[in-house]
Amino acid sequence: MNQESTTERVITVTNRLGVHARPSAMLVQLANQFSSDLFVARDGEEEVNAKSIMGVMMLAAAKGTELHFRAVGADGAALLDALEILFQSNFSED
Amino acid sequence: MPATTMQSTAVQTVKVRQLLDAMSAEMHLRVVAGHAGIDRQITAAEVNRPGLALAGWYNYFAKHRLQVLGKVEIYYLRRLRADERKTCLRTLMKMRIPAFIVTRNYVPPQELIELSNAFNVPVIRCPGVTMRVVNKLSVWLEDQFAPSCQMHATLMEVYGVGVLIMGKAGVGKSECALSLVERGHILVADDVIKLRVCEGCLLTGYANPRIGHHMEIRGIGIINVQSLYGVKSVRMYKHIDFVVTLELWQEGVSYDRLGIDPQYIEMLGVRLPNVVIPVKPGRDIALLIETAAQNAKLKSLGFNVARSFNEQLLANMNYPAK
Repeated sequence: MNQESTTERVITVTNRLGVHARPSAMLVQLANQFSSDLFVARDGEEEVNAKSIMGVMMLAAAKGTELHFRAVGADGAALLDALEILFQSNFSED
Repeated sequence: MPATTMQSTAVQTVKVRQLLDAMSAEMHLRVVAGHAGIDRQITAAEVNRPGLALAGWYNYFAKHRLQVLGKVEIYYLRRLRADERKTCLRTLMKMRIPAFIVTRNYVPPQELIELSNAFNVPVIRCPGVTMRVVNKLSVWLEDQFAPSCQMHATLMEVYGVGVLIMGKAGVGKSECALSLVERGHILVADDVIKLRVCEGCLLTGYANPRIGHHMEIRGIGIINVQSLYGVKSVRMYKHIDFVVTLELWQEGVSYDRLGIDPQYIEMLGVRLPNVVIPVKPGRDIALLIETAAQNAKLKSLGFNVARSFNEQLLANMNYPAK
C-alpha cells in the first residue's frame, strides 16, 4: 500500500498563449526541484507525468483550461504552492 | 503496477458517433434514419443479431449491444405483415438499444425507418456481408472497451521485437532510444505511451498523435526522429514482447547472470518478461538491448540458450540432463 501523501489542486491557465513549449519547460523544471511525483490531467482525461516536457505539452492546455494536478510525496503541498505562483505569474509572458 | 504508470482506465461506454467517426470510411457506414440518436451509448463490447427477439422471444435479449440486421432478420421482417413488423420493431425500440446496423446494403423496411426517427435510434447501413461486419465491429468494440493506461516509458521495435524501456526519469531512456534508432531500429513512442490490452492478452503500445515522434533530449532540446532519420525509423504502435528496466548500477545488488529463470512484470493484467539492465558509464545500453531482443527472438523460436548451455554442461559431467 502506498503510504505517501497525495495532494490535489486545480489550477486554471491564465496566460494568453496557454501552456506551449516555454511554459511547459518552466513547469517541468520547477517540478523537478521537488522530490514528490507530479501528475496532471485535463478535466476527465488521462493523467500524464508532469515532470516530463512531452507529457505536459501533450495536454495542449489553452488559456482558460482547468488543470488537475496531483502531487504524491512529502513536499507535494509546497510543490503545488510553487506551481500556483508560476501560473499566476503567467509564466512571465503577458 | 509500476510507479511510472498513470491511473488505468477501462472504458465503460462508447457513443454511436465515435463508431461512425472511426469506422465510416473503412466500413462505408451510412446513417439512414434516427440521426438524432447519434449520441446514444453502446455499453457492451459485443454485437447481437436480434432474430429471436424479432420473433417474440425477449428473455435475455442483449439490449445494450449493437443490433445487426443481416439476411435472416431482413427477410424475416419482409415476410411479416406491416402491422406485425411495426409491433415487433416498436418493442425493440422501447428497450433503448443503441443502434441498428443493416448489412449487405439491404433497404430497411419502411416501418424501421419511421420508428427509428420517432424513437431516435440510429439505423446504419453498410455494404459488407454480415459475418465480416460482425467481425469488424467486434474487433473495434473490443479495442474500445479494452483496459488501457498511459505510462512514462519508451517503446522501440528492435529486430521486429517490441521492447518497452522503463526506468526512472534521467536514467537515459531517451538517449538509449536515440542510439537504437541510429542503429536502424524503430521508434514507436518516447515519454508518453498509451498501453492497451488487445485480444485480452496482447499488450500494445501506441504513440500519442499530438506528440508524434518528437523526443526531448536533455542538453539538445526537442528533436523530430521522423525528420532526422526518415519515415523508416518510426511507427505508430507495436505489441510489446518484453520489458527492459534500466536502473542505476548499485554496488552490492546482484543482477541476473544466467537468464535461465526470467523475471516477470505485470501490466494491465498481462505478464511480460522483464530484463533489468544496470546502467553504468561505459556500458553500451543500446547494444545490450539489441542482444536482449535477439535472445528473446531465439527463445520465441524455442531456443533457450542459457538452458541448452547448461544441458551441455551437465552432459559433459555425464549426468542426465533434466
